[in-house]
Amino acid sequence: MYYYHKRRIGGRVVSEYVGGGVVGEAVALQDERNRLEQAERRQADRRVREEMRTLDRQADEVAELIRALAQGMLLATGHHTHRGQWRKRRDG
Amino acid sequence: MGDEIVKVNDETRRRAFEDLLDKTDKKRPKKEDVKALRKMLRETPEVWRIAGDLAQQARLRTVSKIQATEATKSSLRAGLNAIRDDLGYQNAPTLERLLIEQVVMSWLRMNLAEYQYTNVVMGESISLPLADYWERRLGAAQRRYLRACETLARVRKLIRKTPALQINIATEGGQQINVS
Repeated sequence: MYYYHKRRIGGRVVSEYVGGGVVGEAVALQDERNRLEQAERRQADRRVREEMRTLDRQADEVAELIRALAQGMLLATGHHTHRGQWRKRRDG
Repeated sequence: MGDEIVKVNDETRRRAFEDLLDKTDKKRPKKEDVKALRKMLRETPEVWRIAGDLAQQARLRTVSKIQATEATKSSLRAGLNAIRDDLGYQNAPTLERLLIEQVVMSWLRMNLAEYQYTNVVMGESISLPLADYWERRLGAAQRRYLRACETLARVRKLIRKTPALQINIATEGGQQINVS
């Protein structure tokens, strides 16, 4: 039994001969542990991003409601927008 | 069934509200449209309270999701309250209170994004797409915070020169509240 260690170099996967016996087994174990750790990190990162997306969505909904209320209040109190800027209506 | 009716009513009301916003956002809107908008704002006082509650819930949820010790979270909550007070929350009319909540929330989101970005970048080597994701997130949070501050400042400037619109919001004692 021989073990080949795989590495990614500039987008290419390169196989490197490690050897057989105890050394090969030890490196194989270490590689497996690294792979598991990497997978856990990726999963944790996905979880954080998913949570962030949910929080973002909730916060954006609240922001949209507040924006609409502020807009309504300004329009109801005699303001209007002119080229994206709020102005007081002359008769407002 | 009951929920569906409420949703349909909410949706209809929301559309009517947006329609009135379009109709009144003019140099010379029809008087009846402005009147209808004022009436709608007066007749749905609960929406102000709901918006305030939702803003507070969103803030509390965000703090609870931060991966930090309880002591850190407590100090963060105290910091947020201090910002709120500095912006004059206690004496502000209802609309300004909502906008202050908005500033506080976006400040929190910006700090959370900075904290996460630092954690990711200072940690082990990260891929370019991941670094790009967190950088874009931080940039968006900073823009959102600036926009919230600008909106608060602009509304304060405009509204304080204008007579208040009074709306009855259900509060303890049921007193009348000036929204603007």
